[in-house]
Amino acid sequence: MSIATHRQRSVFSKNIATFRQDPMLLFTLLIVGFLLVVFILFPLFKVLTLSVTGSGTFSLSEFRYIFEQWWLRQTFFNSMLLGVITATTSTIIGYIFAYAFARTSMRGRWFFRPLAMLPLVSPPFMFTLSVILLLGRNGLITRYLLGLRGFNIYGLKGLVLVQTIGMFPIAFMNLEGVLQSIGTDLEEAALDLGASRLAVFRNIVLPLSIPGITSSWLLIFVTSLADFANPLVLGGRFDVLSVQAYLQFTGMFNAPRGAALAVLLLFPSLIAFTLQRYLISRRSYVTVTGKPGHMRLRFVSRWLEWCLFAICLMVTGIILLFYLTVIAGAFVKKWGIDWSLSLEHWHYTWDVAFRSFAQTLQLAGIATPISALLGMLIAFLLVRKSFVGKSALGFTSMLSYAVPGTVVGIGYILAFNQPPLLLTGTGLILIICFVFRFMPVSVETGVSQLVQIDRSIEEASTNLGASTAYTFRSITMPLIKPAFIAGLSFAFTRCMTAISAIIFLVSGRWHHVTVLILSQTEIMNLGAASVISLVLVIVVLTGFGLIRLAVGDKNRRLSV
Amino acid sequence: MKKYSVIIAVVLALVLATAAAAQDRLSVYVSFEEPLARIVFEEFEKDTGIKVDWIRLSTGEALARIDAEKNNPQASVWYGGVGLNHIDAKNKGLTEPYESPNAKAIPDQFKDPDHYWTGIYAGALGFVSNLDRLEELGAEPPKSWKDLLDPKFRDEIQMANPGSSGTAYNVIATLVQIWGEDEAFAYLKELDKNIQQYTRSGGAPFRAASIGEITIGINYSHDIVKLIADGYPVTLTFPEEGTGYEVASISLIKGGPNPELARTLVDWALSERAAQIFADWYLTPFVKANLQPGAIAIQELNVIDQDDIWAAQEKDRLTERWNNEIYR
Repeated sequence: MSIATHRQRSVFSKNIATFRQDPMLLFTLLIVGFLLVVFILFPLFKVLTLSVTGSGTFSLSEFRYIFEQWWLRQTFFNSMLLGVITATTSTIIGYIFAYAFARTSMRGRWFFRPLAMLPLVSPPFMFTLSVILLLGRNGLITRYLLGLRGFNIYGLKGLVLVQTIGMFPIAFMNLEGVLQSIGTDLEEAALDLGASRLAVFRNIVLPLSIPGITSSWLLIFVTSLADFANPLVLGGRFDVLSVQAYLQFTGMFNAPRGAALAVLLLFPSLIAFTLQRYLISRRSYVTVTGKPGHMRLRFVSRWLEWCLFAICLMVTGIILLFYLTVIAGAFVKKWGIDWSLSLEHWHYTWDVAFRSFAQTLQLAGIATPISALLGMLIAFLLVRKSFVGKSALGFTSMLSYAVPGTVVGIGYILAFNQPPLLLTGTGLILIICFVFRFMPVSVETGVSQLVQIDRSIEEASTNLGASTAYTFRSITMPLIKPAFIAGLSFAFTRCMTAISAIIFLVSGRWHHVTVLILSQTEIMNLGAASVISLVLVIVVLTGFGLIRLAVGDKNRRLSV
Repeated sequence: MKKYSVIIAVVLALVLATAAAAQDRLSVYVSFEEPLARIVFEEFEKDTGIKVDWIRLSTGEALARIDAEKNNPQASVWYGGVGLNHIDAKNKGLTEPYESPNAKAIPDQFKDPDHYWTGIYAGALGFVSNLDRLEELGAEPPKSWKDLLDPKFRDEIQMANPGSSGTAYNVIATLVQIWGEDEAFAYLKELDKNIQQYTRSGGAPFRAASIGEITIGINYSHDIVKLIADGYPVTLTFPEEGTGYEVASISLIKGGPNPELARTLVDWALSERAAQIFADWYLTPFVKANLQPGAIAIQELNVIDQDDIWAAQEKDRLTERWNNEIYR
């Protein structure tokens, strides 16, 4: 018998021993594993198999067809082009913000930070709406201020604009953390020794932040690829994979081709995401040795600080302008035709959207806590327990972060419209979709929090005879409450603003409010779309407050 | 732990509410305009006490969804939408026959001889032009299909994508019936130069024209008449080569839940009361109703001798050809 099999066997028997001691663990693992397989892997498997067996037997003919037809091939390159440009512009702007916040004493942070974060809680195509109102062919700026006729914002440039504004906060958050974790001592030493500010930046700060920059870039690339609503409305003739997959799948009901386009969307996302994970896992954390926020020296000249200030002001100014535009759009009677103020759109929205709002809240209300709890549970298993298949569990639970919503939507339709799991058309399918799609952030924050907490407390509990379940409930959960809140907030925001997967799954019985905004935007009922978007933002922000109230944000037990 | 128990209880209550979401409701896919649908179902509920869950889907989307759900139909009625797609649904075995007593009032040419689908109203294809934009371009409203090729209209015209919209496929089928297939596609290729965007929904172009996002939209005339009545600066013209029309229809979805309620809706949809609601929305129903001023019955127009059964059979092929030759 070889050593390998012997070792395997001993690991295996050790596992048996663990499970015997703690049958609850085995039980939990089996259930969690089963759920992840059924609701994350199985739908993906269905998409993959359909894309290569559309004609009955195995063949790559669908892919060959896509690359033979110029118009279909182009959707692939358009998606990549848009992803690369948006990721680049967003990362640059995000880095500028992060640097200005972490390395300068720039004024106006109280103004810049909340505005820069606002896009993260906005419905996905709120900015598309503003762009049409401001820069469209009948836009306030293009048509009425500049007097341009036939200016065309539709297409690549419009998409880059709205995606950059919508996605740079991801890079900002990410990179600010990175820059803060790089101690300023090294830079101060270099400056003391006479290095120029530029040299310090080029030789110290930039190299140390490269992993963070790359990881932000990849994350935004994935987000841009997955974007569905903006290209659908603002794309014009610029066709991307997510839109074309949707049109082929639900418009033409050419399911194999829709699936094949979805697969073409899936692989670049998976590759980018895996790279990003790898980068994060090997990132060397430079510990904070100085006193953060207390810089002895100036890292940028006064002149450059003003430049950074100007850029931040410009970007947040655009965000503010976009928001004000939507607010104006909600009250103006007929944009571009009749500028008088009225509450007409609010009355209309009350009639049209009330039920959608109620249902969306109901679904989100169920999905959010389940999603966050499941995330915490998986984080607990990953950090505190050892068992076979742990890395597989970790990978699968993060997978849905990388899979574009369009792919998930198609997968869910394919997987759950026949027995034994007849779920299409029910509210349950939406809840399940929410739970598994928005769980990864809970897992991730849960893991990072748990790693920091010494396991001795939990060991003490177990040693005194408490079961895994009891320990998790009474010791772990209270300790990781901040992660739980973060997971809840994220899941709630995304449940309320998701669209790309949801648009496949809504039904007569179960509406989602973002689908309603999309259809109102599409038929150019921009007033109503503005009202619904605004109300949605307010609901999400209120939800944040309620989550903090319900779970308690006192951190009083977190004195570790 | 009490707090968590409360949270769990709330979640459970929501779950139960979700599972129990009333069984006695009728589920409907609607393919006419959302604001109209709202009025229609409010009135229907008032008359019959039946609550309706509905979602607005473009004709193509509705058909695709009914097809996707054929093992487990979620909706019972497909209400509205271009008639030839209802024929397509019949050919694909997705709908079931029902002869409503109210269908007697409807001329034979506007209902299925086997009672699978029944026409509700007719609408001819026409052009909606934004008057302000026309003035800026120094152009006249288009009077023919060929007028749309004027280079002045570069990037100024919208039509829907025949992949998802029944309206757009109706345009293609009409042109093929007027000129023959190859000439029609040569025309569409030229027209493509002036198309700003192919929208997902057939209802989008006229909206875009109404607010001046574009100059011309290719749409059903009833949508346009409504816009004019609402005070938008638009005008309606018809092509002199002849135009196509839709027979917006209603079908029962095969195996849908609550078939009794579904039949009640079909009967109601073919009643004079429902016809009047449609007529008030500037549509021209087949059942007798008082038309709004400006509403145009298709008998008054130069419409082609349209063969919807042929068009339904050719749909997949022509749409694919359009995708490969024009859309690119």
